[in-house]
Amino acid sequence: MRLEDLGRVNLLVGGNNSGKTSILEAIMLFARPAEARAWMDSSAGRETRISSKILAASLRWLFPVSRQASEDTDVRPVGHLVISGAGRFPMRQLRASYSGLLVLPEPEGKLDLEAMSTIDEALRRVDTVDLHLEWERSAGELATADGELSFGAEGFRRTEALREAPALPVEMISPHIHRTSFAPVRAVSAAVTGSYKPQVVELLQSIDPDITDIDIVQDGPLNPQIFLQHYRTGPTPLSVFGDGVRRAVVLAALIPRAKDGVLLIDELESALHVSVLKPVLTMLRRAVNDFGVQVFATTHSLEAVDAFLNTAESLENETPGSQEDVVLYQLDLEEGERRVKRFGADQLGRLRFERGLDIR
Amino acid sequence: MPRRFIYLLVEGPQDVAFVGQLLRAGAHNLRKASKPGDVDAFWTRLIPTTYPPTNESGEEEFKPIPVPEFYQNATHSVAVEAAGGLNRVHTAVEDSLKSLKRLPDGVGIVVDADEAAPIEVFKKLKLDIEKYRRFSIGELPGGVVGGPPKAGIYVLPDNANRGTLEDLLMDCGGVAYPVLKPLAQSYVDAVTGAASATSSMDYKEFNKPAGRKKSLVGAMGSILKPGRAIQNTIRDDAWIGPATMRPPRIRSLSDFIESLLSTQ
Repeated sequence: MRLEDLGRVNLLVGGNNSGKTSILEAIMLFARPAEARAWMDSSAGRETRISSKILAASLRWLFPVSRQASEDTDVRPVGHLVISGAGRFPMRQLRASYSGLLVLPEPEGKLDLEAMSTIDEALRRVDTVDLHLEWERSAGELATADGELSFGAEGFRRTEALREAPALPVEMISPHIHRTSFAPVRAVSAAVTGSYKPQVVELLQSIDPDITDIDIVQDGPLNPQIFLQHYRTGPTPLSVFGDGVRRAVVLAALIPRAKDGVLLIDELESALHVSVLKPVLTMLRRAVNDFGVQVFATTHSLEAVDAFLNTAESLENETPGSQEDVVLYQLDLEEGERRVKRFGADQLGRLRFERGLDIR
Repeated sequence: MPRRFIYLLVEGPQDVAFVGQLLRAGAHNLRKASKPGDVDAFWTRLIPTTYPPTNESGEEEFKPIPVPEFYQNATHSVAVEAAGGLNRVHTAVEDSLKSLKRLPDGVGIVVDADEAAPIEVFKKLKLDIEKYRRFSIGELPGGVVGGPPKAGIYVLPDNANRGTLEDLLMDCGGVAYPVLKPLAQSYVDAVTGAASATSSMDYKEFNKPAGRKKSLVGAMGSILKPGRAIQNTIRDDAWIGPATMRPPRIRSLSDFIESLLSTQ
């Protein structure tokens, strides 16, 4: 699959199982290939809860797996993962292969090795990703690094040589991230420490003008909570607001964390009523321009596509060239073959505003 | 045998009606699909789903949206679409073909030569369309090249002389309505004198190169289908039929379309 002539904002549309989210995961890996966190986020990011079991079960599925049926899944052939890219970010290619092993951790001297169930319980899984990375150190000069990342019950390890690999700020906004307790707090904390809380508040005011401020309140030793200052209800926990406000908080607060990097949004329209799409997306576009962020967003919503095109006109006076920066990629799975079509803003505008066609 | 898919792009709604009638009267005996559920899924992405559309400011707007017509039988499925004018043809064909999951088996474009010679219209359009590198067009108007997809541009009225669809309608009208046409002609001729004797802007459209021919067809249409648009009389009356297919210019356009439909 190949995405060419990327824009500042890149919308990914296509039916279910067409590979939209996989593209976001691939970008996440390409941006931070030598970081275990990126592999964890990519492999288990579709889950609402993360655990070592979920990670172990999902890491291997980032790789192309042979169709050949096998009872022993650990010896089932797994192919290479290759992701290439061009642009200002110097990473050029990531090649990765996967191996999974079941090992007996030390010390295991007291095990009854004839009791199979005991062995099963004692076995620990270690998943390893072998990496070959290539990046442009200077114009025309390629640097490489080879090493491995291993993930086990005790944590993860990384080969020293991989530390040199470049990394790009990247944030993933999954469809349900606003419903988790940790992610919004993390996002708002970043807004406070990064001194961009006023912009977050401004975004929220585009949805509810009565919101005047946002704070983190310690409710018990390990329970920080987000409170919104509201004109009518006073300090009010974010948890009692609707999904749209929660989603907007996460969106606004995470953009600056991706400064000069990449923001990945899975299901752009998630939790946002059509009436707030334009103000939210206008603010989103303004913020990504201000912070130099490139956006990749999946969507099933024509309203979201239209709203993004509309935001281009709103911003054209502020940032000439914004309109050309919206690009849509249509993903198709036809007769087992994946196809990608690129639509620039002009063409997209004609198809949507002049012909009313469905480009999903 | 798999169905063949042919995409025909014309300038306006009257051209859609005329080409549609040629498809019905042609060798393949195609029938117009009356509801979306009857249209082959190949064309689904050309059927508008949003109305009213929004404009660039995000406001909904009541404005006409082109809806293709579809003509089908067991072996062929043909979409006929209006671009909304000559200067929109190259973007319309690119937008439509890109929207489809795969290229059709044939692509035909039918345009007028009312403001330039047919060869000039053809050359500019060929240049504009081939820059998208989606398919190739031959070297002469009216020709169909192999492909796939098979493709060609037909410049009305006959790929050689300047004119418009109305020239063909006048050919057909002369055969189908031998009494009505001279009467309508007399009426237009009478107005011609009045229009040339005044500087009134009322006759601005009438005095354009194709104005009198359009008025003639319009006058006949107003008798045949009072109060309705020209495309209605083209579709519902006797403009296209076995007898009116004989004039050379009608036969030539019909042959162009048939060659796109043909597997040869």
